[in-house]
Amino acid sequence: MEIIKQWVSNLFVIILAVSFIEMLLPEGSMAKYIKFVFSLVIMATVLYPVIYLVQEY
Amino acid sequence: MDYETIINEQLKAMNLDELESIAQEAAETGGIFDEITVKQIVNDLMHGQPLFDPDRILDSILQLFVMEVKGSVMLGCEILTVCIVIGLLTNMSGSFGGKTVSSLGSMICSCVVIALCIGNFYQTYGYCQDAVGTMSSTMLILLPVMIPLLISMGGISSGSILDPVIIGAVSGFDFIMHHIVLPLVFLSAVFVMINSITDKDYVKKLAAFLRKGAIFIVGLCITVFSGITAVQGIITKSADGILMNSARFSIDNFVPIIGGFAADSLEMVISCIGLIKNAAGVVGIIAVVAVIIVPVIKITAMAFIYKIIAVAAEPVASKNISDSINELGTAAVTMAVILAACAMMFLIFITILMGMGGGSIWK
Repeated sequence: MEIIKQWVSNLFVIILAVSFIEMLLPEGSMAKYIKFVFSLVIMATVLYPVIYLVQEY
Repeated sequence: MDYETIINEQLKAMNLDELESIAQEAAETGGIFDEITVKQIVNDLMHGQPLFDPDRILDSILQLFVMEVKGSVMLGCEILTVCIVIGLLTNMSGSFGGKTVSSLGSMICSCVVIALCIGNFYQTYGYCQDAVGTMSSTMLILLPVMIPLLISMGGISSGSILDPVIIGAVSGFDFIMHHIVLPLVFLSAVFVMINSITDKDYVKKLAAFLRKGAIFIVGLCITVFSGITAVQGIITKSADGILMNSARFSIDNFVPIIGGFAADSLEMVISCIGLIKNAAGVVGIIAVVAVIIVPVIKITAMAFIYKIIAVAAEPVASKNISDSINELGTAAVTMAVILAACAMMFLIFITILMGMGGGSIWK
């Protein structure tokens, strides 16, 4: 239960932070790559329970 | 000795206080059903009177719904105001100098909407948890009343097999609802709201997956638990039928002269106990329905408000906000449906117990 609470709050904070930063990014050639990296970060966070379960069992 | 004396003596000998107090409590909180006792139901049934007044019940349900909707209108106004602010910010983005400022502003407004919605939905979740808890405790009080009655009217193997089966099913279902299904629905609502922060869909599919999973688990549990109970009930019923009929026929045929009377009076006593058992079952059904109906109406009213907010916010606010509030309404409806399904399973249990041995004829 504790792990799920942590997961949900992490996901919330990360999505919030990522959308803030994406908004504040200067328009440039690097912006696209940074956005891609951010979406990778979110994917990793979404998959966190799966990774946890694989490690545990 | 007529049947009324037998029934009254049996009722006097039994301890129904706990069952009646829980039924009374449930009736008082909702104000939908009258206070009802086992004795009153037995009397009503024997004199051919109806148990309820359907007009009055429908009236009070409607009244409760309207009251709940009125109570939640304030929340609707708060959310709509924030939505209007979002609409203003997005439309006037040009006059604030940069696009960034206005989109930051609308994001903060989305966060306010999320906080309001989740805070309110958490209350709904709490109602749901409480209702499931009260319902299973009602069942756990009802079973020790009905099972001894079933055994005393000859259902020895039915009683001894069904008691652990039903208690196990009720506690198992309670655990699954509390720790898996309802948290899953709540999580899916949280994810739906998180998704409304940005235009991009980050966790939309995850939210849908969690909600579908919760519904799947409920369906599976209901099928398995009520299936097991029904099958056990049918098998043990025929076993008890053999026992009871052989007892009756042997008294009738092997005891000379008075055997016929003895067999008939045995049958009458058993029918009377059966009537009391079914009256206790009716009290249990009323208690379960009375426990469930208030939270279901509250949650349905909340879902109604969410849907109305979604409809009203659609022209002003951004698409993802109104979509998310709409999804939140669907999540609330899902909770109400899960509660109703849970009540249905408990009613199936009570009905299986009530259906055993109508009169003395065990078939």
